[in-house]
Amino acid sequence: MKRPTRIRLIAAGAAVVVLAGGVLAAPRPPALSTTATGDPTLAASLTAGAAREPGARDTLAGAVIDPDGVTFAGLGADENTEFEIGSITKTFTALLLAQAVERGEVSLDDPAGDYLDLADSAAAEVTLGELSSHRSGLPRIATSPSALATSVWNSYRGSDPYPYDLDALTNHARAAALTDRGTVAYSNLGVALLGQALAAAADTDYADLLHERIFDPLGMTATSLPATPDALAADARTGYTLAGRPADAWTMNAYAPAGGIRSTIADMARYAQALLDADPALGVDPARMLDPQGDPDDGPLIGLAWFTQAPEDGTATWHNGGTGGFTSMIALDREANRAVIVLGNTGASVDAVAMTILEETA
Amino acid sequence: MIAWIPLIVVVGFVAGFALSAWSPRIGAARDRLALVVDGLMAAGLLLAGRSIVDWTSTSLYAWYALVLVLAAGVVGAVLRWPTLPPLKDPAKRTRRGWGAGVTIAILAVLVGVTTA
Repeated sequence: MKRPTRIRLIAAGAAVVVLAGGVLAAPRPPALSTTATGDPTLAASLTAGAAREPGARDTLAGAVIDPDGVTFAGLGADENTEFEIGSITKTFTALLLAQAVERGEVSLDDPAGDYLDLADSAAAEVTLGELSSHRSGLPRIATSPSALATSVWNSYRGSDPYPYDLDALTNHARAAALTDRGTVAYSNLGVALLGQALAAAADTDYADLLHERIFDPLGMTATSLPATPDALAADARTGYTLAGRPADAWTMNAYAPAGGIRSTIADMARYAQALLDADPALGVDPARMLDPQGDPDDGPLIGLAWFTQAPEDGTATWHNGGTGGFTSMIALDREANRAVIVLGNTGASVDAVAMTILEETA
Repeated sequence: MIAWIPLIVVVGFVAGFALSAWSPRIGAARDRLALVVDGLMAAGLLLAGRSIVDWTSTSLYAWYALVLVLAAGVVGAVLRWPTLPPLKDPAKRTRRGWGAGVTIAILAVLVGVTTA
């Protein structure tokens, strides 16, 4: 065989191998389950809403709470399926803050340095109220080179980007510069500090504080905060990234007050119902968290963690969440005494799913 | 926009490999080592991109298009191989060898963590 012919054959063979490998290795992200549970109308709304936002889908669970009661639906999930609720955890931290103020343990104007070892750093001066309303000026996440590298690398791996203990968290806060203090700038670092400060004020740890003051009084028996991988059940549910790759659970360690809770749609409906009804089991009037505070010209309308839509956009009071493998949204229509919660086990947003259902069922 | 970065990176490396294999001048591989490293980077990052890129937003056609471009690059690389020296400048053998080794090691880690 002539040499050019042999080379062309090798080239063709290599191309066939690449093409065959490409076909065999084609991405196969999960698809949204067609197994509906609960209310068929709400399940159909979940299916329709999910198609409006990009990203991989697997299972969804939703609940509508109105004066007539609670309606559940799920796709590949039911009201007892566990999800990570991500940053909706911040609303629980805000509730703990409001409770602690009510109990006289802390004041919204107390500096964080009163409760945590922040030395003479700028972070020591920010108040608990500022931490909860994202007006502290702290950055969204720790900005040291090692923390940024850990965040990027763990995100690439699909694992928890917040593996830090309390010492590391306070070091992050001590090293952080404040930017535009008083203006709303979302900060996971700030809310993590707040949760740890509240735990210190109550002389306990954050997970125990949640159980004692929120989960147990509200009967949220399927809700937990496993702050470290060791505390996570061996068969704990995990989700998928936006691209559909399996993602590790996020436990978040000392950052857990910013996003570490795992819950079910049934328990979250119980929580929403308590907020709408000002349930005495909350230990405080929920308006203290939900009502926007501060100067509306200084950014979004925000109470203690809770966002309120600008008047031209609607009337919802809401918070969403996202971890490596889960997304969540809770939206309250306080005037109509209604709420919608949607939980998903992929990185694809469920914000529009929940907001659309809230508007459709108005 | 951030969600598109992985796809842009993968497209860049796969297209770059095809260019290095087929281009007569601009972007052309100067020697076999460069061609091998370009090819491994393109194939490795496409493999990593399988898990990192949101193919539900970009469509699977983009995946198949990239596989096609990679295959075209492989064809070009095989055809060009006999015309290239192992190393354009043998005096830089050590430096080029280390550079290629480190690049491939980093690539192996990047691919490994997405496929483990």
